Amino acid sequence: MTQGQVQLVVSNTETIPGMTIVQSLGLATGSTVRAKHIGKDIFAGFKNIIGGELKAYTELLTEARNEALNRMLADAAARGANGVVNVRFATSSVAGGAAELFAYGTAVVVQ
Amino acid sequence: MAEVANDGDILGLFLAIGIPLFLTFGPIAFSAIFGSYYQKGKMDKLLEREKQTGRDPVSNLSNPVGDKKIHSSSLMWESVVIGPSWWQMLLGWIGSIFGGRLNAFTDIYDWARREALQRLREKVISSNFDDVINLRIETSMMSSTSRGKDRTAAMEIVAYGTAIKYE
Repeated sequence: MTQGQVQLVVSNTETIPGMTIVQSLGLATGSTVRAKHIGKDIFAGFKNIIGGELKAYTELLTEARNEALNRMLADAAARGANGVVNVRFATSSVAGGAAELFAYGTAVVVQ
Repeated sequence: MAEVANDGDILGLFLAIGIPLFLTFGPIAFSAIFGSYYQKGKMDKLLEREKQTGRDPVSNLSNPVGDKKIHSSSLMWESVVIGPSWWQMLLGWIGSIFGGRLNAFTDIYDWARREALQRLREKVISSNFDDVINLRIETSMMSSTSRGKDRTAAMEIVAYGTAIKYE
């Protein structure tokens, strides 16, 4: 994954496979809150009649999660890291159809 | 004075009973019939794709098996948002009165998990990675189902892991 000019290695394991961690730089976090689009919401309401995938929401959350990840990477890059390990995702619904997407991991220097 | 009912009366009676009946149970019946048909079709497609994948690259071990040299690694994730149909929600609601097993949701949740996993597999394979380690599957509710005006029930499933490429 790339963020600006810095190439960051991202992993959800405690180590980066094939590399060694030389320094830990603390927790890198990124979050975003997204609300549902009313038009999409109405369509999703209709789609709920037969059930199945709500594609509009899948796209919305994919976009939002990418943004959260990018913010996390920017945070890590700002600390001078070149990798983020043990990345976790968390989602929580805020009031009225808005969702918060949160990504966090440990910023590290790897070799 | 009793009169013999003519065609108009019978039609009126039919409409008087039929329209409210249709408006009450019509959407639910539509949901039951087309919902199960639609979801079955999706499941069949997914089974077909799973068959085509061949070797499953995904595991939830924290380290890769064997001591092959690793070329590169990257975090990969895929998600799917699903909602149960009205019919399934009705069955679920009835089922929750008595408790016990809720078969109504089993199929669609099973489909959603496998779909998220299958998308991850396809993404990993198309990005030329060999394996996925430390797979995690996370579930979150997107909107309130029991409270509030929001009647859309949606659940998000995200599957993520570290994709690795051997030398």
